[in-house]
Amino acid sequence: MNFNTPKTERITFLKDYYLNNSPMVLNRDLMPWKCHKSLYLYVEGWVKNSGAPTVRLRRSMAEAYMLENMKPVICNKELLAGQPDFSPFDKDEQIQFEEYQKIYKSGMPPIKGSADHTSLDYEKLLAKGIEGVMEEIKLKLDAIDIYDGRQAEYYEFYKCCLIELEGVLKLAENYRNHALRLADEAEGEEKKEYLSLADVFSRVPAKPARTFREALQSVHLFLYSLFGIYSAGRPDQYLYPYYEKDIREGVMTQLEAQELIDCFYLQYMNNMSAWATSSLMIGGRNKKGEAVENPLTWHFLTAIEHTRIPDPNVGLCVTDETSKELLRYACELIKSGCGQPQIWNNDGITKSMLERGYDKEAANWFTHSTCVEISPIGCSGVSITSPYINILNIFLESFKRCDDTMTFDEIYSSFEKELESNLKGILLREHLFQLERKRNTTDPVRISAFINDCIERGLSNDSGGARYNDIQPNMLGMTNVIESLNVIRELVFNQKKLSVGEFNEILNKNYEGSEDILAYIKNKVSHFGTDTKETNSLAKRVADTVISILGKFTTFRGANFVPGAFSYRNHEYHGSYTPASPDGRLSGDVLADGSCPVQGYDNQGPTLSLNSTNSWEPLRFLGGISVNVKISPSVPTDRLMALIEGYIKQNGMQLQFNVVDTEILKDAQKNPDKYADLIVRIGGYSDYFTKITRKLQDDVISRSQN
Amino acid sequence: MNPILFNIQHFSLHDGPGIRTVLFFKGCPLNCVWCHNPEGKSIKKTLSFLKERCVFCRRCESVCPKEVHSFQSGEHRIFRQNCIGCTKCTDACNYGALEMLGKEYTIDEILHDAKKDKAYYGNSGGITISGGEPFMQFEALITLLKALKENGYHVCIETSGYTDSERIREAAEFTDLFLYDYKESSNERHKKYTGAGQDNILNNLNVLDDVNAKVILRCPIIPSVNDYHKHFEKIARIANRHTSIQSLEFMPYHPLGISKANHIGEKYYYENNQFADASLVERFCRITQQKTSKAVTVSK
Repeated sequence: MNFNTPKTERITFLKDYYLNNSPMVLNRDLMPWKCHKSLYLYVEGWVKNSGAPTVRLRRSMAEAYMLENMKPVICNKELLAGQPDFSPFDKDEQIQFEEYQKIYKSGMPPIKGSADHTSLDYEKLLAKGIEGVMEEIKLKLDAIDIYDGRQAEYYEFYKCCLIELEGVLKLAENYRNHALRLADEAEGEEKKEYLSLADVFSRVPAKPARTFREALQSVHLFLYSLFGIYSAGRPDQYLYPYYEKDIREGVMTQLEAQELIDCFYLQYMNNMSAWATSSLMIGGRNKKGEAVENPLTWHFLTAIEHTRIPDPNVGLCVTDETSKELLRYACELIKSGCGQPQIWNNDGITKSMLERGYDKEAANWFTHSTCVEISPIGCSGVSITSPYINILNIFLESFKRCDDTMTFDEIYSSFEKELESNLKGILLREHLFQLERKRNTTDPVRISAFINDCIERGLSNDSGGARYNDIQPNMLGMTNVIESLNVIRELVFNQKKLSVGEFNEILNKNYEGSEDILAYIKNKVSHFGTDTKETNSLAKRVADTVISILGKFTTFRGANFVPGAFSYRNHEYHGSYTPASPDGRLSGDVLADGSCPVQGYDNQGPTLSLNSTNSWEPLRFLGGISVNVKISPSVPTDRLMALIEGYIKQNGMQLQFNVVDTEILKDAQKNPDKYADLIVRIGGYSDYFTKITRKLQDDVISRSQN
Repeated sequence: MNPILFNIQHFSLHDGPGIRTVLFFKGCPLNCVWCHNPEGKSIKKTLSFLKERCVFCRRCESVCPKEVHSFQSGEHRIFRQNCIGCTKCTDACNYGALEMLGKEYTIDEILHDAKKDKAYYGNSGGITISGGEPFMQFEALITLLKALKENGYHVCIETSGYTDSERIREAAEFTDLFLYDYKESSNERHKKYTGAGQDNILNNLNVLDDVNAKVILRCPIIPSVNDYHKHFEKIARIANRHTSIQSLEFMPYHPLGISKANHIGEKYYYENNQFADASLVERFCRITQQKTSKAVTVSK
């Protein structure tokens, strides 16, 4: 069903324009969260509303002030608009901004724990429009029993929603007026385009969307207004009715639809800095569990080909009902070296979610919230990577205290004890962060209007209004622990080459003077990653330990801790302070990238590497895993398809590819200017190769190529 | 009888349809000058040495019962003629500098290893038996083939065709697809460059026609050996003559065999470190394709 919709001149123009002009592309220090002008206005709004009765109301007033006063930015030829204003401050503003930054850092309650990283009920936004949702909230507000003081909390929540949503309406109105002003100054085709953009803004997001373009604009403006990283959910499903109607009625061609989606993707360049990411998911199944593969699924894949940018982080859900044609096209995109899409095992994840207590609809209707964290759409108050836990460091702490009298199992149980006692402290701190999040609301309250059942319960997402509130701590260096245990078992117990004490001595000295042992570890030990029974069962044992110890804890709301095991780009930082480990890793070296075997140890090809990963049953790690496969561009498409199908058949969870020759990566290190556009996948997200650190570049290169 | 292999390669992409597990049989009756797997020529264990990995720890020297390793004037020299393949030195080397190629595998071991890739085979992938020349270890080959077919694998044999016709007839019964080499059109040149004539190779294609086998004819393109017009016309005639031949695959020369020969201390007679010229290969491809309706592809 590939429509072969070509890339239009508009898309070439806009991408080129954004590449050379978008502050987000040009300045890596900018954040996708409030910064620069938005931060300025937010703090100004905070200062102006000092009379607000609660911190929460005051924050919402500040949000609304920011939204109302943000300068609209519309670029020539844009079909969808909405991006932050990064125009420079004048001298007075700069002085004021420095003042505001101080207030933000020390005058406002600090933000704790993870924020955003969830997805919203976009169907509701499109069906009701913001005005419709505000009506719903007003009814709830009117129904509050003032005689019952306990309901004041609901009152506060509803008020916050209304204040902020009013701000979004004002933002849209400002965009409309700005488009009209631009139309005034323009002529001919350009004038017509600005007028039609103004027309779209006069309708959405206030009112229900009528057309495909209105629907896309509504979603984009609302997402942009949040200054955060949110998943766009499953757009090939919730946008489909609008698409289908426009095509059927002849008001839009497939080419026009494609162009709009391309524009939707390109706006990520203005709203997402390269080192952060935001996602959407396509294909797979709908809420009822029926297979989804419609023209939009194809259009959303084609947009990858047309835009070739790191964002959005597109996930393709694959099931046994996914057509060969769609998978083939996805594989061709992957082979073209753009790092997209990533592959998800839809049915495996659904099964895992059902086992973890999600209801059927939520378990069918999930998304990766940004990188790879799995969460149901429009009903999740999840906190992801909360926190990052360097499990290798914890293991090393326990191993340091092991002695020569201990058996392997005793060494293992000292690791278990160390992990549990560490988790007590780590998760207590997380509880406190979550408490603070509840009291002081880090996210805009208006997202709660699109997270079920916040309105019903009268509680914001941060206050526990969402239907699901799992917290996802993230294990870093888990495969380093597996490999370390493997090496200890081999060297200390099987071969009796050295004692535990001697091994610790060697680690203390960072293998200096023990190059022979280091070489032995690297070259002679059968590693995790080559699909051997012994190493696989060890991996399963470590994963079981993580699951079972986390299972002893509940969150401060009584919900589950569900682990993840991906690294984003943090395997570099968390490796930097971690001492040498028994897996042959030197002090300060990067940890394993995501959920993959230790770099270079999966040297028997991807099939065995993937089998090893599947052996620890990663589908239980809904907090997200990222499995990177580096593969040569000469791989025939049907082989790549077979690899993906086989991996999913064997209960794999997630898969992402770097299809680029090692030689090209090396050349890009030497000549970064030549490769400004080269995108690679790291631990769950994509980034420009030439913009990541040298250490991470080396890490990408060192991942075994097959 | 168990086969002796010098490698098992998982996730092979270019040796038959789909994702394949390739079993490399050791030993070959031919001696092609351009051989890209020189470690597969001898059926005996072969000591491989990666010079750049050696740190001069001299542990190999101390464990070797036959004085294969010598360290004199700053050089690690290897006297392979003394080597009895005991693996003491390769076991002792921690740096991955020494490796003993050639190991006997039980059929169960092979089946166990192949099973790991099975989920990735899909409808087309499977196991390819390559070499060396698989027919050199005929008994082991047949035992293995039977076991693989009993376990439902799609099996390819990659062969030079240089073997007895009875053997190839017997093997065909358990083989889904032959990847069959055709190297050179003149018998004389064949002798010169491979060490043997081609009569039985050509004849065995008749045998494969006879038993309704399926064959992909694989033609290495070796610059200044077989890169002449007539050869490619002959290839087309052969393809047309044999019903067993399904399609043709041209395999442009690559110089990776040179370093491998180096590692095992063999002289590489075909000294050419250039990849075959892609445009030339394309041209040969066209010459052949003009004269046959069977598909001609170029392997990557």
